[in-house]
Amino acid sequence: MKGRVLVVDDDEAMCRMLEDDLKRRGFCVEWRLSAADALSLVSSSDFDAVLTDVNMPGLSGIHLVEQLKTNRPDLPTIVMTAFGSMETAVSAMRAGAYDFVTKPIDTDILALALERVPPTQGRSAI
Amino acid sequence: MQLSLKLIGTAVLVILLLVAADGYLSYKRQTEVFSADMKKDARLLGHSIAGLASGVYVTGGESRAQRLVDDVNRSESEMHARWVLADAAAGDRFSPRVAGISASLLDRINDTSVVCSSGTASGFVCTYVPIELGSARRAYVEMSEPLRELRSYTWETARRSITLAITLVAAGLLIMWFVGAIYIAHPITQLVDKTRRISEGDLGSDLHLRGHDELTDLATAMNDMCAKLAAAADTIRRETERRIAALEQLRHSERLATLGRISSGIAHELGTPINVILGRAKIVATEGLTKDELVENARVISSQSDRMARIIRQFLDFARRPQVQRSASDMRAVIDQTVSLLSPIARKSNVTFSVLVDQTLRVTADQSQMQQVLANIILNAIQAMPQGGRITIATQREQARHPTKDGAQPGEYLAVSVADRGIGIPGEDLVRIFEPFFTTKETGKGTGLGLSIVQDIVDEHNGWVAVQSTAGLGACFTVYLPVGDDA
Repeated sequence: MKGRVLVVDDDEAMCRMLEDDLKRRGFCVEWRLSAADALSLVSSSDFDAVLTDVNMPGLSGIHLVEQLKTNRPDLPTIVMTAFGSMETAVSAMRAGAYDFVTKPIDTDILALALERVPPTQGRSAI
Repeated sequence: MQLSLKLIGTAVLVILLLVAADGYLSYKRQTEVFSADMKKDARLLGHSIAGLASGVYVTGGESRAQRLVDDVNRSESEMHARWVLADAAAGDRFSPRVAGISASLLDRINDTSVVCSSGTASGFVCTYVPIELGSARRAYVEMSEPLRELRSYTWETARRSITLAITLVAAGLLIMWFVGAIYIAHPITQLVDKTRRISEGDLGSDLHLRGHDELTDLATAMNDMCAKLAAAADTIRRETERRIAALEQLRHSERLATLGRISSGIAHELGTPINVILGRAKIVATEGLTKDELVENARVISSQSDRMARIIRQFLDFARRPQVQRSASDMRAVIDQTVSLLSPIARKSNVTFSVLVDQTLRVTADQSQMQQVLANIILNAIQAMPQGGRITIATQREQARHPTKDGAQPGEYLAVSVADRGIGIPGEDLVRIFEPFFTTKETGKGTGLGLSIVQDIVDEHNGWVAVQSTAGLGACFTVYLPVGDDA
């Protein structure tokens, strides 16, 4: 068991793919379709990392990162940005993201990024 | 009534009047001449008899003179001679046949002729010639001749005049009917037929009339006019074709500009299924999957591929230059397709759609053009809400009257409204937004043709576009499309 990951993306197929892939790599995965639902879940459940898309209806991924930075500064976030949109990646990092991966997602690189996140309070690195 | 018949009728009437007048005058003249001849003959004969009777009276006495007068009647059948006395009482054998003629009247005139129409002398002309008896007695030879011959003669004259009139009228009628048919009715029928063909748009096939008169001049003038009209129509047609081609090119360019605006959203929309497909493919490539897991991953890859194909098809459908083709179209389907096409860019701008359409909406329209109309309006609405928001698309059937067509009758229209809560349109811009190349966007952000083309397309569908907006409170564009026969 490598740790609990919350995947946030407005596309269910993307969430399910990431869930299947990461589960096969030993992660425990939960997913939500909006940033608001994710914030709600984070307030009641404990996660080791949050993997979020940037463009979502309602609260965007950047806003989710900012909120988590305020509410859960110990919870590392990784944002998924479009290929070539370096500005978005920089904005996410400035907002407090720990790392970013570019689309199309290479799940091997994503797994490495997740494994690299620092340990949260009370547990070791995933 | 045909013109030729009117002309013929008038000419025949004139001939009839002339012949009738001539016949009447001729009849009157001949009757007078005949009557005068009758009286003259009676007087001449009367004088001869009176002269002889006067001589016999001197040599043989009154009775022999009277017998002489009576003997004249043996050889003269028509004219009757009598010995009359001016002072004889009425009913006496010697009294005048003309009742009431006085001795003083007979004395005053030497000889006279009286035409009688009443009494015993009715139907006779009576001539009185005095007989010289050489005494105080006044005797006369009364020459009476029946009017039968005169009447027979006058009737014959009248009959000849009437026969001549009828013959002349019939001959005139026949000749003028032929002449009128050949020189008037036939050319005018051809001219009318030519005019009808011109009104139906047939400007070819020149009209050639025989002869050299005003009608042939008119035919030549009409042929010249048709040639000039055909040349002008050809010029207009070529100009219209060029204008339509230019307009179509402009619309297609604007369509491509619209595609440019939505392409970034499309790229993002394609990115997600590509990610899913790549991820699923990588999962499949790993070992240790159960058969069910393999099938499930293949199913997801298939559905995501379909999703990409659908997005690309929508994009290409919109980009393709369509042949304008109006047919019974379901506006609900058009709205759904347009919303689906614009969903990526809307999502990127944090804009959501609220589509309040719950039934099939049939109008006669070109689906592709209607999609362009809605896409232009919705894209403007998305751009009007930089902070995101909601666009409400609603439809409603309304009884309305076309606002810019004079004399337009109220009819049933489908009103498709697109409302946003964006920055709105200032009043001074509101009157100009449909002008070509008018834009409030930064250079390169818009062509300024979007709403102009929207208005053109809707106008071609016999509809109109209404807009309501307050600066800072959003805008609502409503497209009215006729439902039914006007569509």
